[in-house]
Amino acid sequence: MVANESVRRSAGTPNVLPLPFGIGLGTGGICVTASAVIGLLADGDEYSQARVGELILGLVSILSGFALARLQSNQAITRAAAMSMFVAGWVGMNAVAVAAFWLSGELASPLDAVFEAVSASTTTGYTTVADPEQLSYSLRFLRVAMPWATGLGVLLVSMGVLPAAVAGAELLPERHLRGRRQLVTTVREAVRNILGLYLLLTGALIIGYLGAGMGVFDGITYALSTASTGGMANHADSIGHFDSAAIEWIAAAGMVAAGGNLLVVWWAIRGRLDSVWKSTELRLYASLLVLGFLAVRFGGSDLSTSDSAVAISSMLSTTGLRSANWAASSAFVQATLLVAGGIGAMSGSVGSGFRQARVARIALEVRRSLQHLLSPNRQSIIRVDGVAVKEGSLALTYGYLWMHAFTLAGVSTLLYVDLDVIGTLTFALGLVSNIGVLVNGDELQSFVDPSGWTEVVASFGMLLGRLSIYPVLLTVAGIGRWLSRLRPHRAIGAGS
Amino acid sequence: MMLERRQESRRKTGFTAPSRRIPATVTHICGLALLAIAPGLLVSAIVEFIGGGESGWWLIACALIFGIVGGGMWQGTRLGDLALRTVFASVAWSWMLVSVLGALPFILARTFERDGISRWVEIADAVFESVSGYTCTGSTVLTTLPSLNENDPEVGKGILFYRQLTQWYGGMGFVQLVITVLPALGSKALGFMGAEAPGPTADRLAPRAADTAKILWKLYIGGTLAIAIAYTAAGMNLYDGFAHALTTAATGGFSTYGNSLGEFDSISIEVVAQVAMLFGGSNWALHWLFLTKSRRVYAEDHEFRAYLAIYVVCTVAITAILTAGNEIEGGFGSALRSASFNVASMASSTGFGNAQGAQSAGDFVLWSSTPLVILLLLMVVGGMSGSTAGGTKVIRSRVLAAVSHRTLAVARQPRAVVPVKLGRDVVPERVVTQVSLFMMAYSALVVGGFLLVTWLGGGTEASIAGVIGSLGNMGPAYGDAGPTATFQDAFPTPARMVLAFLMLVGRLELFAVLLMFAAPRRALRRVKPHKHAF
Repeated sequence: MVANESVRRSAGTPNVLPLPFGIGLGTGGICVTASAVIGLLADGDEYSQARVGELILGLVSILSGFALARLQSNQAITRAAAMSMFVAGWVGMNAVAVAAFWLSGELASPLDAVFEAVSASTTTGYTTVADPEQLSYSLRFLRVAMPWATGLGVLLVSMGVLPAAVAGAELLPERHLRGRRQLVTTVREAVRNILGLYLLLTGALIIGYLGAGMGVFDGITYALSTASTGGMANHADSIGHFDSAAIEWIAAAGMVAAGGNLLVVWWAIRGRLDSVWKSTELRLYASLLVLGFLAVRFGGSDLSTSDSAVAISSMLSTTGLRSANWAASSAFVQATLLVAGGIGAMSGSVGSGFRQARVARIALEVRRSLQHLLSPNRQSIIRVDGVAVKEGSLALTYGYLWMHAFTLAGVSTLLYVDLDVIGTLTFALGLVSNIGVLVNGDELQSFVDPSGWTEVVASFGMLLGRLSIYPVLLTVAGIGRWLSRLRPHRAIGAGS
Repeated sequence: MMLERRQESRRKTGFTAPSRRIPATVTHICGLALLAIAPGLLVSAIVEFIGGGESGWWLIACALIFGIVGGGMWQGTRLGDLALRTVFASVAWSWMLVSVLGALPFILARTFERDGISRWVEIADAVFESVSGYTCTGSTVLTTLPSLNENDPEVGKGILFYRQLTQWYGGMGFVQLVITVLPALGSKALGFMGAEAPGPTADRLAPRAADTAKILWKLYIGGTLAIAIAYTAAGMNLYDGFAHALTTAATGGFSTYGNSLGEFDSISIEVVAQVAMLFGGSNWALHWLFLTKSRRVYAEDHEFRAYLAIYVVCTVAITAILTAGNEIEGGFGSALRSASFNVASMASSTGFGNAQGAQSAGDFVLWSSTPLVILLLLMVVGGMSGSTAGGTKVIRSRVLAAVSHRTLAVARQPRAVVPVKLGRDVVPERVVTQVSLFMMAYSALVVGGFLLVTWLGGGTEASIAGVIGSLGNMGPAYGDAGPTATFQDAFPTPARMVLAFLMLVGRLELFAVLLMFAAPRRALRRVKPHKHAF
């Protein structure tokens, strides 16, 4: 047994990180290559040199990624390793994107390139570009291709690969409480189902947007942006640029679907409406959507019905697309939308934020504790989706709540921006919940002009929010341990 | 005579006749609490007469009302059910009753009378001021506060002194005061202390809870006197020294002047105030242990170390930002003065200001956003457990940080059993759960309060700071409710009522107020005839 283990350990690379890093590199390479091809076709001659550079970068990244992904690992995939793999994949994809953004020469500084790439790949949507229409087609496409790829990656890893392949992954924050086996039995089946659903949503949005009057490029890019809850837009006014109620309704419906749990969508497609109705999280999501819509529409704003629908679905799904300036509305409307953004999307979706499932659990726990105070002898368990929640799982939810709160507080404090308090707090909320909009006085904007320091803090905040904090912190801790191992050990007795 | 006869009969027969008093714990405790306020009203009346004000007789009338109503409630009832929910309800109802009835002197003296408002708004303002006082919040709607050299102020000194006294009563808590005269409570007294005490648990300084309450009140009175002497030595007159000492020891933050302590424009007074605010915001049990047992208690207490570290780090950070951004006139010295004072004021949840008026250095609403975010976080954290301060308390933040760390460790190794530790001490799981629940309920109240206050007409910036400040019993907020303004312009009357309720909820640390309706409801249910009785 021991001998077998030592044999197994001696074969292959000593850790699992090259594989996800390679996949990330390859995915980034595909995005950059596709952008470069679109740029070569649509951008004028003045950009051709940069496009060729991007094409070479993309192809080299794909090849490097392919080579790295072929390296076999002998290390068992523990939970910590799985989380580090998640981060490694993301880093690999971003490395290519940062290089592409910087090589394009359209951004002011390398840090702007990092910020833009991180904002895109974390599905946040903040931008350092005041007028995105001035950017080349290539870069505009890359800004939406990255979040789309991330969205797919998040779904595949959290809903498919990890639950099927890693022992103990059921405690990962992204996973839904029950019904996993109906969607995922093998990794192959999981990839097929998730990819199918994601492509279905994206395809439907493309057709919808084109039918509602968008051009081909805008239709595709906004569909990618909506399906991934990225929120990156080709226009400074986001979808408000089109001033079309039809486009706004399609965007709202797309964002609601993107912020919904893929598993629930799967049940709905399979006709299992009883399971859909039993979903505590879905009921909460639907209630918040309806209540939020009513609050925004009738709570002291002059937004139209479609604008109100876009506003609430954009914040609740953490997309960040805008059709109207709700920052000029009443304080109640602003408060409602900011709270919605803080709560965020359903678990098992591409959306971000604190997540509906956690809010549901916490609300049930507060109710239970109040009941316990009234009747100390009463024993009760918390049920979500009709299934009793383990106390250990609840403890993890509380722990995550405080980590989320500390992250939000830390990012708010470390940002050094020329905004008022609400501007700074909404900026921080937009970073950690990956929403990508902030309230600057009476203006709602995705454009930010941060200092270098703020760009670094903001990038880290977006990353923490997108990867649900744990993986990033555990990877940072892992790097720290690895560095400490590199230090030369003092010989025993050398000090005496 | 009658008492002697009854005692004689008891000696002979060995039989004790059942008391004719109604067993009603809530009413009994409420009556005693009202009774405790009456002497303060009499002292205020004397101050009003000496200061030449016109409201002295109203204060005496209020003292009589409090005495008669309180005495009647006390004498007409006795302690009954002492279950946990009744204890919580007693504490919550006594606070509610005293806070609301405490508005009576303001209403009768027409303190909030002004042009263009109805009598109902005037009453609502009086209630807001009273609740803000008794809960040690310090938010005010009084726009007629005098300046230092004003000869003919609109509000009399006695009324202002009563306003200061409300915070002093609320600081240590009048239920704590009631406990000292209720030996019949026995071991249940600790439950009452716990329901009113700030922090996850009540410290016990003596075997009997009543003795602990007595020690704390003695210490409180001593501390107040010491602060008054220090203020007077730093340049205040006797009246101002005592008036401000009452609200400093209580970490309340009411001042007798419109510009708060900024009216004096004195560094020595601000230094005294800072030290006193930090003293009031730290655990009073530590002060007692320092005086009676060990000189090292402060250094050994991990919560105190964290409390001081927060003060130092936040002061340094804000001073650096104000200096680097050239945000206030006077350079580093002025920045340090404003930063250290306001950090001490917020960390201890006092709410004093050192701005000499709007647009001056200490008017923090003019600062850039990062210092304001830091101050907002300080409003959330607040002071130490066992102090007179508000906020969620330093100890809870430390527990939550430890819980977060444990969550991370469990995420890495799912089978690991990781205890929550503060320093070398393991925190019991029961306390961890209580802290988590408290913070969850607090978060829900912040979100709910924010939505409600904005719905009622508050501005976004003022509302978020107003709700956090009210729940944390801070005082000033942001926007139109900053340190040099009042809550009158920033919030409509209904929104102010919501904030007043949040102050009560924050002072009693949520659960007591949430359960205040439970005990009477259960009592009523018991009175109803049983369905199957016949």
